[in-house]
Amino acid sequence: MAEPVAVVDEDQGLVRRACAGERDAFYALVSRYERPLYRSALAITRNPADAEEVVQETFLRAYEHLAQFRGEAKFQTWLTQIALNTARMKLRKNHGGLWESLDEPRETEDGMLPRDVVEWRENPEQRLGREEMESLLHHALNGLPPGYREVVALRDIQMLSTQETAEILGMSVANVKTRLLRARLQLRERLAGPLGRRGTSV
Amino acid sequence: MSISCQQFLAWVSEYLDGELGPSQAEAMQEHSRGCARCPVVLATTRQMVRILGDERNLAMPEGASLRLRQALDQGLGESLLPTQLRPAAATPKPKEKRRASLLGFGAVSGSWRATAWAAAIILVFLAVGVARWRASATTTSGWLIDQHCFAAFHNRIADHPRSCLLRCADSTYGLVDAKGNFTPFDAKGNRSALAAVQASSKPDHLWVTVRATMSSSHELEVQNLELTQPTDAALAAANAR
Repeated sequence: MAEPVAVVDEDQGLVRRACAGERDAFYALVSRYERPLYRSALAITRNPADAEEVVQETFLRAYEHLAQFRGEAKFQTWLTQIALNTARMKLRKNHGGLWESLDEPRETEDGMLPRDVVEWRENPEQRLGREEMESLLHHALNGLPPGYREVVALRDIQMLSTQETAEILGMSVANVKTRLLRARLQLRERLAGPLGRRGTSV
Repeated sequence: MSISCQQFLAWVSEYLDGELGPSQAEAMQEHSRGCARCPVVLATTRQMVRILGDERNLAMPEGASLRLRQALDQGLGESLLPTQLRPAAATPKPKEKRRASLLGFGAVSGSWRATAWAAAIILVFLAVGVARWRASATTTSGWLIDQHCFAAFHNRIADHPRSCLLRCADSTYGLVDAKGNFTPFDAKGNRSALAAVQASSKPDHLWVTVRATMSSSHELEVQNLELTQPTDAALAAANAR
């Protein structure tokens, strides 16, 4: 989703002021991005305590390296790159060397075929309640390989464009699109059971 | 162009993102009209994407925002705030819990219990006496806000509305000083603050003056509290944002 130009300009202004030592300007950036960063970090790490640490470490690193932010990229893209690296380190630390082997998902057609094809209830959050919805999402994300979770976190949670996601992940736009398709179809499949309107199966 | 279910599926994500060309998009719509399953897959995938994008899902927990600011305050170098007004390192727990643990002699049995209670009461009196002796009350003022909304209104505390303060009565009230730091009130301060907000007719810009001592857990132990006029400097700072 394209960011309004005003927001990008405002970010650049805040970065300049923060670089000049204005703590408030940095905190304005924190307020703007802490929530989307947390949500992405949670989707990638699937652990609230890790996600919280990722956000803290990301802002500390961002502050430390703020002078190196050239303003060629969007501030959000730059920040997300730091968060992604931090989340990856956290995953590696928690899972030893496993992470690398899990990174490249096996590209089989099998996972793409929709099996549970029923319409969903309207506004499932209101019907299920917040906690149940959270646990459903956690469960659904748990089943996705890390590489898929990253694409979902950047595209569908941070709402970055396909191009920006490709730059951050260092892969081609086509590759991002393929992963996003598979990730979305798998997540859809995992949510279809609990969210499906039973009895209207097609 | 007529497409198969398999092709529909392969394009469904790009279709949702508006990344297909016009003829491909038209083929998707045409296929939808004649297929029972594919439109359901499209609609439910769209719902799934909406759920992920909804910021109420996978949301940052209460307190995380405050903990983030405290971590940053520590990590970004020395805080500008005088030590006595710094918020506690961890999110303050409800007062009742601390009291419960202080007097929690559940494991002690029989005659020991009476002795333990007596000792505890003497200790409490001593502690209160020492605290009174050490900390004499001072007068402090700042913007009134609750801990829950402090994070969200960090940079525009003055705009935080009275209506929200009333809704957030379950959170902890406190004041924000000139450096933008939040210090919570004790239970009495919370009751006084709620009463003052209920009695006020100001829609926002709620400024509070308290006579209080600073507790060891960095709470303001409020002796009395009233809503007053913000200082000119605070107003100017709020307007400058």
